[in-house]
Amino acid sequence: MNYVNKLYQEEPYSLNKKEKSKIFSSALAALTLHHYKNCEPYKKIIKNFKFNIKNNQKIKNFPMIPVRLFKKYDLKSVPSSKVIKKLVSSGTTGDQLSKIYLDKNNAKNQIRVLQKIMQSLIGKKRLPMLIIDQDPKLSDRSTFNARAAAIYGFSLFGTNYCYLLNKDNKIKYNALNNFLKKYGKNKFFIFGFTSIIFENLLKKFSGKSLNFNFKNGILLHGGGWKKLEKIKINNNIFKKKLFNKLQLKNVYNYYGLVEQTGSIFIECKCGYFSTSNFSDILIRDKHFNIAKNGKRGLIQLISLLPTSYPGHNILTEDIGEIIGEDTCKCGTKGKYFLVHGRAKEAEIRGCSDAR
Amino acid sequence: MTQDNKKLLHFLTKNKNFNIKVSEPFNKLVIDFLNDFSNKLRKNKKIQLYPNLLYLMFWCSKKKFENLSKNYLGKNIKLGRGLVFHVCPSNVPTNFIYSFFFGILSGNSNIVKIPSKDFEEKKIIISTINFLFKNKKYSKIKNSNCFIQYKDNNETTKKISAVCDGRVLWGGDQTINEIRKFWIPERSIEITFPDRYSLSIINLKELKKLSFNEIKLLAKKFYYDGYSMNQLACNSPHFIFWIGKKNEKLQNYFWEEVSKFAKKNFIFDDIHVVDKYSNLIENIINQNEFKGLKTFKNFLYVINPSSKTNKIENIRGINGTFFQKNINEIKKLKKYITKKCQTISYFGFDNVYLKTFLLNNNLLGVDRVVPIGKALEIDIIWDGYDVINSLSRTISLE
Repeated sequence: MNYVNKLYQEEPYSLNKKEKSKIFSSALAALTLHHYKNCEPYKKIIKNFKFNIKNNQKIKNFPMIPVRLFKKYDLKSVPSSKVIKKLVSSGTTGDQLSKIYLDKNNAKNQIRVLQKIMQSLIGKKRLPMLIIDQDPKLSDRSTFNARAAAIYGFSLFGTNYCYLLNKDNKIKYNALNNFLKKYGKNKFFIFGFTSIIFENLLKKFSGKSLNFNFKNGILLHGGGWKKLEKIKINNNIFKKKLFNKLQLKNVYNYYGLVEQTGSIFIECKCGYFSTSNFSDILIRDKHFNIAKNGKRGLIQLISLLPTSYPGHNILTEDIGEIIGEDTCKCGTKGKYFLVHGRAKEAEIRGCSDAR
Repeated sequence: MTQDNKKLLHFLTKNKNFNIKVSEPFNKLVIDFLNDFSNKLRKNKKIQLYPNLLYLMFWCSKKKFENLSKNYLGKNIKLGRGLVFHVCPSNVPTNFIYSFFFGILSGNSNIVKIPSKDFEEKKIIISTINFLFKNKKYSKIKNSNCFIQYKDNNETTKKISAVCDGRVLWGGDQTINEIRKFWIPERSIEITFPDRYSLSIINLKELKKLSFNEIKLLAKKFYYDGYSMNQLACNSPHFIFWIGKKNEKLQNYFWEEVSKFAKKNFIFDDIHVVDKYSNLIENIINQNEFKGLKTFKNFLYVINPSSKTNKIENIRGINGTFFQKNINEIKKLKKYITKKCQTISYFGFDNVYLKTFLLNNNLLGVDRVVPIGKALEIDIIWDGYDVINSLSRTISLE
């Protein structure tokens, strides 16, 4: 799709509402038509909704795919022979996992767009990178898939890697001190999963064994707040604790689905997630009407990247709210929003599954 | 009962006075117990929030069982079979108590595996039972029955199975098949309540005769059947067959009214909407192209499936998604009824007519035919079993 190439020339948060809706309307029409032609199940959906694929449609009218679909079906818009990579979602054991099939072009675009977005966070150069996890090479890959994929994905922006944890999940203080001694005086990049960072950097970590500080670090973390919510840790407390303990002040949360890898949402300076030029968000009420800004509802995510699988327009199971568009105080264009976790799980009643 | 088995039962039930006792079905003590259970529930203000508990409260009435007992106790002698082991689904909050009542009403001792999920209804039921167990009058029931909770522990299931005289299994097909691998003694009997499929039929000729208010009432009853258990019970309808000359206006009016009740009464959480929309899309992918899809916001989805659709037992909705088909006479229903079919809820047919249909069509499915509005009611004739007769022995005395 040419839209990605075109937008790649711009800064990642440059489009205002009017420019964006114009581009997205035609980009979505093109993507919808592409998947309609190349993915049989997707075609059925469009046909059953009697949706007419043409330009100048309102973005909210394009049929959305429930995210659960990627768990139940193998959805591809390219022949199997073109698939070079399969992404698998994280999930607790027993859950079905999402399967995302990438061809060369889709995989390339994911990396390029992620690069574009990351540049605004850490700059154009690769930085020394501290990973708050174990080296995926040391772990059992089958249970480590999604975490490993994220670590490998973000490793593209780092160099001189240091893994904080050893195989037994113990903190490697020596390696850390060496890393900070060597690179801590300048900007460096820290990556990890929110709950693992909490567990290790905030709970387990002993400041006494640290000879240096994290002042120059830029921390990017994601993966959700489910575990931390239970112990009443929110983003603000998390940041405060990191600052108090490690003098770490540049802390950014990101939000994204494996179904839309690449076009992730990174927290802006004001503490909100922002859409980039490659992504959009809509909030739906219980009847799929568009919720007003400031009202909570189901999150629908749009990405221009998915071409080898029909994941460009997804209804998630997350709850969020849009704060505004183009008006964030940090100057970032696009919608800025908050995520409030998963829609509360229903008590599943019925006879069809016991135990 | 060997000494070892006795020890095992004492261990499992955590009650060293546990003893297997049998009695005649509809034993007076048991009927009193159910009646006191009902009275105790009635006093609990919380049950107003749970229609299934209100229903349970009424279900346990003394009068009903006193009347029923007359049909069962004739010239033959009946006695419970001994120890009945009930394995109940983890995701239906009140099912286990009915299974237990079936067991004691037919004169047995029971071990009931209760749901692992912490349903509020479950807590209320168990605390009510425990309250009654404190009463000396019911010490015999207390010491011959036990509720037990454990998670997928095959060892426990195996042990209890090996000493039971009857086993009652509820659940999905896979669960039932797994439990069935565990041996039960030669003389033991087993009743299974696996996954089933239910549908509704409406006689358009009779519907046409109704006033708008009467149609509204029918829609309300249908709403109750379809939505109460999130459409997940095996007796919740998924398919509705309109029988007679097609009347789109009337049919739409009916759906309109159903959607109004859903709007007023169904609690739509975000997750219900996600489940419903995901289910719809899955149905789209799994089936041939629909002939029609009508959505009443997210309150109600009505689907006209492709005319090629014959095997309907795997076509299921959730939270108010129904499939509909017009057929000109009830005979045409035959090809849709498989062994999996449990309940047909109906409107506008008389009993003689239905009886003729049921008897003369070589049907291997359908175990219940009830008026619309009663699909979710549970009866001692269930899934094709007369539960009282199945769980008791008949002694012939000449």
